Amino acid sequence: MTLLSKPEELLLMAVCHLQDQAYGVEILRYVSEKTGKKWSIGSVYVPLDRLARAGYVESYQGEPTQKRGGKRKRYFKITKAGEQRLLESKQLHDAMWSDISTYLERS
Amino acid sequence: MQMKSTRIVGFSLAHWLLSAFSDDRYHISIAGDCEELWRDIAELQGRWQAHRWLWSQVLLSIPLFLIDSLAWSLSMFRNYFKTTFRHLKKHKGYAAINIIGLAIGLAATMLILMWVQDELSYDRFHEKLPRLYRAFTHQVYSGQVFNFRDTPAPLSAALESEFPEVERAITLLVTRGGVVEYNDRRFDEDAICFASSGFFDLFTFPLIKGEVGEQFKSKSSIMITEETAEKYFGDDSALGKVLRFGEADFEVSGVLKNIPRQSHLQFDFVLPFENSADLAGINLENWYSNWPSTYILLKQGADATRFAAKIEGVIKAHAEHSAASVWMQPVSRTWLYRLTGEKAGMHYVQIFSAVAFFVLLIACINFMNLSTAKAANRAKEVGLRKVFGAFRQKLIIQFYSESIILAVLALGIALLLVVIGLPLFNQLSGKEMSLTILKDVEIWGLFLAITLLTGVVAGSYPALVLSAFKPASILGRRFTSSSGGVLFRRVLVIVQFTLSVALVIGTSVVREQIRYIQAKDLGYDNKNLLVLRLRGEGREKYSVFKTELLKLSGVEGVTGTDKLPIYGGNSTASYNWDGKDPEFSVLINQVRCDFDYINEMGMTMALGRDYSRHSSGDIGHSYILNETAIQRMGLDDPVGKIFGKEGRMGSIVGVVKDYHFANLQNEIEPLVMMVDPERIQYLLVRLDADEIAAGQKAVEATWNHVNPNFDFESRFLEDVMSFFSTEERQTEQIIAFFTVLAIVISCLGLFGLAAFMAQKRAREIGIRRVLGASTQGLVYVMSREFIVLVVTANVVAWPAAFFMMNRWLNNYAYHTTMSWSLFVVAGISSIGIAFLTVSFQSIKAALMNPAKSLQCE
Repeated sequence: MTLLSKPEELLLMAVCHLQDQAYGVEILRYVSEKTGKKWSIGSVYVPLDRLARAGYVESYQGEPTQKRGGKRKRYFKITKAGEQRLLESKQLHDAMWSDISTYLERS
Repeated sequence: MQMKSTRIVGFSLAHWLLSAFSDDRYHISIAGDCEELWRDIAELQGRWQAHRWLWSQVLLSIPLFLIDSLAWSLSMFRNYFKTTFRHLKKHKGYAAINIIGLAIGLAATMLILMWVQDELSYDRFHEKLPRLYRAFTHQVYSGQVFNFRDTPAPLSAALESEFPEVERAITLLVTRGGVVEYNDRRFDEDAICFASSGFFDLFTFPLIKGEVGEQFKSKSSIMITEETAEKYFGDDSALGKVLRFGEADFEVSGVLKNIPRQSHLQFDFVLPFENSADLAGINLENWYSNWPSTYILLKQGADATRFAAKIEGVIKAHAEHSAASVWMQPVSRTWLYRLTGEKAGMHYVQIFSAVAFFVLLIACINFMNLSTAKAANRAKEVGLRKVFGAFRQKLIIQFYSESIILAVLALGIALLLVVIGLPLFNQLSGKEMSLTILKDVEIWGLFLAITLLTGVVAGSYPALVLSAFKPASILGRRFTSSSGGVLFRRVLVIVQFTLSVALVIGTSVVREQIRYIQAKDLGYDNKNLLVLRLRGEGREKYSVFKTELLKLSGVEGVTGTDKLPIYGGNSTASYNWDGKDPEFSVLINQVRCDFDYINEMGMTMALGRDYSRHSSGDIGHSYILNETAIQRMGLDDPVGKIFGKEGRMGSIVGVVKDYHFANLQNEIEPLVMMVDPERIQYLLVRLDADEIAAGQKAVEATWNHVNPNFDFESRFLEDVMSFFSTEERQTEQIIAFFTVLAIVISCLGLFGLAAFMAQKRAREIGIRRVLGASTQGLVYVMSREFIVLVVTANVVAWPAAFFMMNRWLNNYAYHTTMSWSLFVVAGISSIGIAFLTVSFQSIKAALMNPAKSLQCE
């Protein structure tokens, strides 16, 4: 099992959190807000594409709006495998955190 | 947030850029996202900020998309590799024919290109090459122009002092023959170079021992090459050692790096030029005698054309009556061009390059042919891939990468073949090429480019045509391969066989010409004639030899001359005769010989008498001329006319029928023969045809008995002569070799095509068979198409080959005529070979059980 990269992991969590609202602009806003960094369009879509190819997210087209120049949104939705993957990732984090927590508290 | 959709300036470009680099699935939504965000930002911060944001997005995102797509295509490439090898495994025979054919073609081309490269690299090592010229003389006799490398010895000094354009000019002479002594050891050396002191200013022959600039410090300095130093002194230091030439001692002042093989100047010793007066008999001050060579180094920026025009009359300015004017030729052209600028070796370079190109073309055609033929079989694969969502672009990439992978594989095998075949090729071509040439980056680049080009061209048909097929039409039963592809293949087969047939005709014409030259009536009998070269004091023992040799039982006759009837003669225009127009001169070659030379050599007299030992005054005062000389001189009744040079006037006693006294590329020139037993250099011994081996042994015993100072060395005149036509012979062998390769490759291709056709027509054959067709009939049906192609190829090839070979033959003064039988033989054999190749497949197909072929599908 290959590990998720940090951007992949964050984006997967963003997709999971945003639920029905998970399309490009919202995802970008959410991760930019949380990380305090400016994410570019490419840095959102490239990892999302990888996640989609790996089967952790699905995408479907939404309705077009005036504001978008008549272009449809593409919504992302986390799959069962994606949720599973996030949980494993958290378990891994927790396990490793508990190993180092004593040192961190001491300092 | 409702807003009117307006066109946003600069948006479409950004949009296009992003969509061009991003995945197809996302680019619409990406554009939408961009537009949405742009409007948000524009509302809060203004359009300017929004645009800045948009373009920073574009610039930041493109690299990400790019890296991403690259990563994906790499993994796709792995997939192409996999499918290619699967495909190869599935069609082993086809793949082998295809790859091996191309590999042979590539290997052959590489070898020829190595040869061409070698020829073109002659004399390139001189650092000042662009400014180096060789002077030659242009001499006019009785209206005829002759060009000689020979120039007067004082020419170089005059050029240097009289013309400001000249930086340095030197005189140089490389002689054959000379005895060199060191302690008690004697060697007969034949590459001794006399050169004036600017030698190293002009030419780049690096010193490995001795001080630069000290080489010509005294008249008795000598430089030798590394190889020579080892031959004389072994491991001892050569510097300061003394070598003896004739009566004079020379001290080694420098050791040169061995002369590169690719140099038109070849020598083992360099001596100061003054010594040539004593050792080679050169008159250092004589403007009338043309003998040594003159080389010129022009100053930087000097105009060579204008300079050449200025020096034309320089000899006549010093020697009023000289017939010679001075011309010059760049040293870079000495190897491949004649003095007059016509191509000499360049001819072969071009012929071989053409052959290489043809062979490569044939191999490439093969590769394309087989690839396209096989590709038609893959139409279904294409259809299926398309149904499963393959994009046309991806299919194109797949086919291209497949054929490129095959071509690169062939290149690998070709390299292996070159390594294995190089020794053989060296033997064939008389060169000593090594694989070091493969270190050359340019050559590599060239081969790689050829390989890739072949791969791309071969892959183009399946990549561009097949990938465009509509899956529905391919997968439906009615699909037949397009007629365009069939026509294309036919044309390719015709081109291929046209080239092969032309090569066959070319080779046989070259062979005919060589045979013609060898069988030509030379005007004398060169059979069983043993040549012994007399050296040193051996010359004085000529008559002793002759008497001793004539006592032997296997010897039929013995005579002697100063020049073998191959080398030609040295020529002069200084003869006078009765009734000669003072303005008119004829250049006459001279040969000195024994009394019985004409008789023993089997030449015939046309007029007058032969020389005779009994007529006093034949030595020095009787002359025999050849028919051409009499004709050029315009004498009606030559016998008895006064003839001769100043101080040696005499009369013409006879006229000998024209015989070939020089090599056959030249026409017969005027010749004068005179008796002079003291200047004989070659003993010619006619052996009894039945006892050649015994005779040769007996001659050797006599030689050792009379002249033990030199080892016995003998060759038959015929062999020496064939040595002189080695150039033609090598050309013939090389071309023949590549012709065979071309035919093999063509047949490989035809074989593959026939196999493919047989497979395609299996059902047709089955039905014909069921309906009662005979085996012969089926073979005929199957082979007909190919035979028609080969016949067409012949029709095209004949006139083309005739035209080319006619031009080649015209290079020779004496040449054979092309007989129609050559063409017919080439035609019939090409058709025969093609038929055999095809019939193997068609017989196999015809004999197949129709139940089997009809059952499938």
